[in-house]
Amino acid sequence: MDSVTVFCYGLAMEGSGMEPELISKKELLEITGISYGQLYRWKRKQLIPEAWFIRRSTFTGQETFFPRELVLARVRRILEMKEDLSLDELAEKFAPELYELVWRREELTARRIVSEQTLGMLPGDGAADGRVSFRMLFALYAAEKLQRHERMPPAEQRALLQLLKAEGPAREDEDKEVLWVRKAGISLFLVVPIGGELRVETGARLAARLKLRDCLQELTNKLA
Amino acid sequence: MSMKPLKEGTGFVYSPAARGRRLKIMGAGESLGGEFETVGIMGEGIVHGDLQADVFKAMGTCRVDGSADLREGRVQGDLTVEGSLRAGTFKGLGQLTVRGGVSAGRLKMQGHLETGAFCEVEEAELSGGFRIGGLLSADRLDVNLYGPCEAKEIGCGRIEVKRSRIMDLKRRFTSMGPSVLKAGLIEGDEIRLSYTEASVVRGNRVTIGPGCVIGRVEYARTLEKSRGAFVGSEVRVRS
Repeated sequence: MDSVTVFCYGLAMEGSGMEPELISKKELLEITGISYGQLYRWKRKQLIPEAWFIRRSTFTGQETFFPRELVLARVRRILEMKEDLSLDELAEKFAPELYELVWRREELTARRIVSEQTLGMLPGDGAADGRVSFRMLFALYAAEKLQRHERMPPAEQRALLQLLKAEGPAREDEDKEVLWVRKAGISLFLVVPIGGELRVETGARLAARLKLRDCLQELTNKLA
Repeated sequence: MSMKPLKEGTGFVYSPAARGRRLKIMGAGESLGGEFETVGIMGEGIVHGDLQADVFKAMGTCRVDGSADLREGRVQGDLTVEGSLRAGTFKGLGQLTVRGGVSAGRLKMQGHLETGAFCEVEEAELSGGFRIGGLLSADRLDVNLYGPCEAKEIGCGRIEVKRSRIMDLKRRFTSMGPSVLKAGLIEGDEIRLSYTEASVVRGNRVTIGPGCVIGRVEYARTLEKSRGAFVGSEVRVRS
């Protein structure tokens, strides 16, 4: 994972077509006065997204760089806000930025985040430019996980994808799960809140189920 | 990991509320996984799928085919997690193998720890050996070398690496690999190393103890080197 350099920093840079100006870790610590301990702690809490850690070979070996503007602004905000908020509260504040990321198809397959086959589920126009929004990626990833054990006909895949994309990985959905119920060859997908009791009629079968929050967590870990 | 066919005729009852749900395996047993308040395994247990538990205790051999999410975990013996492991606190005596990553608040391991990806902990005490496939990151990290330790990178607030003398002697009579920590890069504010091989060490206050072979040290405040240490080059950066 470490050998793959990630070139997606969010929409801010997508349009410019230029590589963003980078700052080395050393320089970052020097300018902001933060410590290694803080930097690694914030990384663990995902206050600084993994995707911002860019590895480059230099004459002194591997060094880590960051997109300059983004990381300086972020560190400044963390330092400002950490007086009033705990790190976990801060993490929640910053999490939504993930949704702004856009991924390249080749990168997703190269890093084995979703398979080529799953990407094939994309509606034709959805990724004509070879880019996948995070929302769509989440839907694809969840769909792939759901059908890992059982084959799903293409028409049903599309229906599932539509449902997942409409649901999205938004915060209020965090305690929901998606259920795949099958009966006599017919599939039904449900998104339900976790917490209630669920019974399925005798002829039907719960083919698979997936917690959206765990799925999101897993996906973000993988993208990291 | 595959979804097992559910019991016929009964319909499927899914109660996600973990409250009051207990899983107990004594001897040998299997479970489909799910959410539990307590999980107790003595002997041999296999969990086919993801497992969430408030309290997880295992003695013997245990395998989780999915990911494990525990508030508190205590294991004596052998635990293998095919997915990733998340824990509030985790204490292990024996061997812990996680194919994915580990994230924990506190991790105390006596024995061998192996992860396929990162290992992120606030407070870690690792006694024995380990092999971390990615970044080993901790606020405070104590390593007691009793066997070969390896991590791609280590990043932390404070790290201290020590080696016990007794094991040093014992090693001469057993086939165990050398009790040395190997890492590509070690970064931290306070770094105290012994018997460590690393290409680059970057820190604020750095102590390079006996048995160390370090390619390059970059330090901001202080650097102490013991006589039995080898440092290729040292640079003082910012003040």
